Parts: sequence; C-alpha cells; structure tokens
Amino acid sequence: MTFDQFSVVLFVLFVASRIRGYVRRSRLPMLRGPGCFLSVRVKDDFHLGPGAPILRRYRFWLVAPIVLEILLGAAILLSGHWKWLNALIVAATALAFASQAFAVRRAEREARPFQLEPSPSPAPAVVLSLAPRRLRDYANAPVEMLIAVLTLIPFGWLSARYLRGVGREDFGSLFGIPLILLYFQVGILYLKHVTLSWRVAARSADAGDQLAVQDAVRRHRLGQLDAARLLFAFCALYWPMLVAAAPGERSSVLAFWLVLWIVAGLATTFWVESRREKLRAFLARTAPVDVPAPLAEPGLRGWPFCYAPASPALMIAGADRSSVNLASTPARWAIAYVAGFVILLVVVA
Amino acid sequence: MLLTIDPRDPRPIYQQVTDGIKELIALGKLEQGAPLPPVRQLAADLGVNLNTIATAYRELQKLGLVTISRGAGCVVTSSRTHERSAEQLMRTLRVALTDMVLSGVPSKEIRSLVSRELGTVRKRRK
Repeated sequence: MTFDQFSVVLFVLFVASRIRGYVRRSRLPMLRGPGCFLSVRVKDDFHLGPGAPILRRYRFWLVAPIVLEILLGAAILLSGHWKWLNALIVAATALAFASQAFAVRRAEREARPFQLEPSPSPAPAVVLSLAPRRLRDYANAPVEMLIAVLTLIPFGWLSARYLRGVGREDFGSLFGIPLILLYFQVGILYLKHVTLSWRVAARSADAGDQLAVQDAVRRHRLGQLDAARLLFAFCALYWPMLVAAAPGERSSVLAFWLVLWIVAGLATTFWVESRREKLRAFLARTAPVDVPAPLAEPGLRGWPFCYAPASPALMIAGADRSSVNLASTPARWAIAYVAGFVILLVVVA
Repeated sequence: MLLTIDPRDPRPIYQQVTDGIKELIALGKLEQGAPLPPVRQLAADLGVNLNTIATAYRELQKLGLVTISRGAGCVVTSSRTHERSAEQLMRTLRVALTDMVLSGVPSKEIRSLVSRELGTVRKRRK
C-alpha cells in the first residue's frame, strides 16, 4: 500500500465512521425525551410544532460540513492529489466541531422564546466548585507514562543514530516527521488546557447535579484528547523502523505501518464511541445544564475577535454571537502554537 | 466544596468569595494543605475580572488562612486567622448585630440566632 492509497482508505473510513455520529447528533435535541429541546424546557410536542423548523435548521447545519467534505474529497480524488485528503480530514474534524457548537447554540437561542419556565429571577446565585482544574489534576498516570515511553523510544533511537552518524542523514530528514508528530501532541495538550479552563458554573438549585454533568462531559472530552495523543505517540514509532529498513524493504515496512495505523485508529474510534454511549446514557438521565450568565462580562466589543485583558475567558459571549478574546492566555498560546508550527516546518524542511 | 456567589448580595463579589472560603475553612470542608483553584479558573467560572479574585485571595492571605506561591498556587495553610484584638473582633460582631437590629429582629431572636449559628459552626468544625 502506498501513502496515497492509505490516504484514500483513511478518508473513506473517516467519512464512514462519522455517519453514526451524525445520526446520533441529529437526535440530540430530543436526548432527554419529550419536554426538553437540547437544554431548553419546552412542551412535549414542541419538535412537531414550532420546534420543527428549528430542528430542520439544526440538522442542516449539522449535515452541511459532511456534504462539503464529501464534495471536496471527490474533487481531490479526481485531481489526483490524494495526499491532500489528510489535510481535508484535519480541516473537516475542526469544522465538524465548530458547526456542531454553532448549530446547538443557534437552536437553543431559537427555542428559548418557547421555554416553559422563564429563567429564574433576574440575578440568580452562581454556584461553582472550588476543586482546582489543572492538567495534573486530570492526568491519567498510566496513559501519561505510556505516551512518554512511546515518545522517548523513537527520539532516543534517532538521536543515537544521528550522533553516531550511521546513515549520514541531515537533522531535518531524520527528525522532521517525529518532531511534527510531537508538535501535534503538544497541540492536543493545549486543547486539554482549553477544555479545563472552559467556564463551569451552576445555578443554586441542584448545583451538585449540574456540576457533575459538566464534569462528566469534561472527562469524556479529555479522554478523547488523550486517545488522540496516544495515537500520535504510537504513529511516531514507525519512523525509526522505516529509517532502519533497507531501501528495498521500505515500501513493505510502510505498508505494514499504514495498515497498523488504520487498525489503531479504528480501535480508538470504537473505544471513544463506547465511552460516548455511556456519557449519552448518563446525560439522558439528568436535567439540562443551565450555566448562569457571567457576573461581570466585559461585553462584546468586536467580532470575531476582541481584546478584553480584564477577562480570562477565551470566548466572550454576546447576545447572539461570541468573540475570541485575543487578550486571554489560551488565545495567545494558540497564536504562539501556529507561529511555532511554521518555524518547525521551516527548520525541518 | 461549593462556593455560592449571589449578585443580589450587597457585599462586593471579592468579599463574598473571601467570606465563602473563610466559611468553608471554618466548617472544616477546606482543610490545611487543600489547594484553591487558580485565580484564572475562579475568575473565568464566575465571569469576573481577574483582580476580583486576586483581591479575595490577598485578603485570605492577610488573614493568615492561605499562602500564595508561584509554583503551588493558593493553598490553605491554617484554619485560624492571625490573632486579632478584642476590639477588632467586637467591631465585626457589632456590624452584624447592628444589621440585625436595623432589620427589626427582636433581641431575644438575635440571641437565639447567634447561639444556633455558633453551635452549627462548632459542631461542623469538630
């Protein structure tokens, strides 16, 4: 199997593996049964009456990215530049998350005028947990150990080879791929940090349950991100084997690893899906999460970017849209990360 | 360990945070060595300015209840505040009693409330 063929197989599996997710997400508004539309309490038959067009629009925004992705995928296949499918997978993943968040937010906003109980009193009490949410508080020691070992093995081996001057390869060609994979791991750590720093609060009524739901969702997302880190660490292992292989054996080593990646990717997907099912069952038993409004949000001063140094939040919410706060630490790190990636590409190119 | 902040409370938010954490320490829910969330986390969760939480933590540090260091963050170090003079303690008590009297609570009920609350705090602290 060549890398191009691998890209096509990966793309097809990527699209196929997400169909079930799309079907499940299309039913998300009715997750908690009649009487709830996403996190809004409504009449039992809301989704058949005034909610029907809202549900239709929600599903449109959910499906739009996958249609776009299939069209772009077909165009790339016809153009013959099959390697670009990998970039499309990365872009489509980001787009799917953004589109889902947008669809949910928009549907909730549109459903709110039909809410049965209006939001409690103008300024309800805000309850929050005093448990610190740092990366180390949510780290899984065995997983971290495994990632560290899987990362150290290729770098140790490649460093020894480079220092001994065995293959006479230059730094870029020897360390380029593992460094890029390591950089992706750092990017996922950043996403973990953003997940942990996301706003968590509850109203005073049933605050304990509300915070437990938010914690369950957070743990699920962190688990997904750890699985992705593990996959990237595992990916880096192939490089020393490919470098060490005789020129005639390289294509078979590459083919072996490409198949192994697909198997590992599928195993990870099944694992994530089984966890998602458990989370879904848990969420279906709980009341919708209603995060109270911030006590002193600086207000939306621009869109899509704003500069609010007094607020630590990455996103500043307005009445109907949100803006990225460029003064927040996560936004600065994101800018530094992109700049660092460009520098890395220049160094290893 | 839940902290409740009420925007309708006349006390400023930083004061509510300080008082809330003090209460949790007094009740023994936050024990010595317990880490408090970073300033950024608490400010983001409440949706307030970073300085609001930083001021609250500084107040707790002044009282000797927590220590703030660069690496470890804010950690509960004591379940007792620094020694305060009888006059300072009386002032705090006088403010609370004045509020109750102005709210029209009869003296007998004030005594009963004070006694009950003191009993609750001592019981939970044990």
